[in-house]
Amino acid sequence: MTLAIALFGYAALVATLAPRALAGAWRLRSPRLTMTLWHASAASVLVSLVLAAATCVTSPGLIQTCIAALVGDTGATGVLTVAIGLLAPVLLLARLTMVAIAGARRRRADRRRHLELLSVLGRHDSNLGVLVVSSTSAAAYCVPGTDKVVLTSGALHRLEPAELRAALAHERAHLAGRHHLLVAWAGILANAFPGVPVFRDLLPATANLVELLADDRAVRRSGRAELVGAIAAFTDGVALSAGLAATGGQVSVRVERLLDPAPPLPLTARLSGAGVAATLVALPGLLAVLLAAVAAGLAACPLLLR
Amino acid sequence: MRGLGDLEAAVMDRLWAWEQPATVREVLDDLRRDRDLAYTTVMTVLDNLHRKGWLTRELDGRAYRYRPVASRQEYSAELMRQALDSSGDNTSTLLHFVGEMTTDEVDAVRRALRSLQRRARRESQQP
Repeated sequence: MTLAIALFGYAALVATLAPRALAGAWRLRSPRLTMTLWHASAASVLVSLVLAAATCVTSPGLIQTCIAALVGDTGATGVLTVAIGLLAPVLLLARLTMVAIAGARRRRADRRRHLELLSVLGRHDSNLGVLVVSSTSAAAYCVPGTDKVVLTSGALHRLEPAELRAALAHERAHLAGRHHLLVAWAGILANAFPGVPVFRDLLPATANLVELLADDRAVRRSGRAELVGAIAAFTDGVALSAGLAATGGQVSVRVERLLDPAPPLPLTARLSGAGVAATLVALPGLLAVLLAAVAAGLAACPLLLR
Repeated sequence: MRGLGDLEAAVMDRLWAWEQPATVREVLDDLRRDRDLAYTTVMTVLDNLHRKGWLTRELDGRAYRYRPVASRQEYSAELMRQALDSSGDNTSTLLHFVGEMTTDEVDAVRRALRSLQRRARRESQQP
């Protein structure tokens, strides 16, 4: 039972502390490391919750006492305990699976419809290797799962050739890095458990970090000033949001970061960051094994002494 | 060789431009002006577009007459609605170069660009 409490406590700690720890300004200096730490924290919480629930089945102690107090110590108590212990992880995983399937279905339908519209309304520009759709609005995007990058004629009209190369490099970085998978996974966790801080904040964090990763690649491919120019060229043509910046937004953060680039984190910081990420993933399992071994040792003692 | 997707676009372009229902033969005759096509190819394309809900058809004598279900503008509007929606649930459906911005952000980005241009000018003026 100690094990279950330890695991629940660990999960609660990581779930609330990780979003705060990962909000520092250094996240802009190493987006890849920050991304790794976010997803390691989320995975760590998820695994400890499943393990904690599963532990209730193997060592029912406390829960059994509670149930016995509620319904009386009958034969049903043991059955109820095991049922709860089994049900919790099953419900957790079932919820994840349901949200994942619903999201995947919706995205597939949306993308299919979008590709159908593009196939009739888009004009393939073989020089640029992009699809152009005619619209005065400015938009540039890629369709994940395909190799298609789409530009509106309005965007094409606003961009200088060098800026266009930067914008395309950004979009191709999204496709090459399979960024949509990270965003989709973060979306599953956020939609399944919006009450858990680390899961809720994982989605906007991931959406923003993939933009930084794509920016870094575009800078290497084409240049800093060109990328800033490309972003600025969109300011008179993008959709304006009424409220707070949308997820995946934070355009001004991107521009500030491009104009005043801080040096990447030193190697030692990045290595220790990677160490923390590995620990986060491994810890719940280690904790479970360690405490189970101790418990087994204690249980075996009376047998040995006899 | 062009794919069926390109042909679909070409066929829709013609039907939208004509503004009246057309038969496979009429579409074929027009398309043959710039490329060599088989009757069955064009029939397949029209049939596909009908199945996908882009065209309706009515029997006229022994042949179908095909007509677009909606105007190009209506389809464009739907496409752009999807293309410009970078909010919330749509984040992983399409990945945008620049997502939605607040007016404050637009101002911040423009200020940043001006400062970059000033900096570039100063650097170019220095010997």
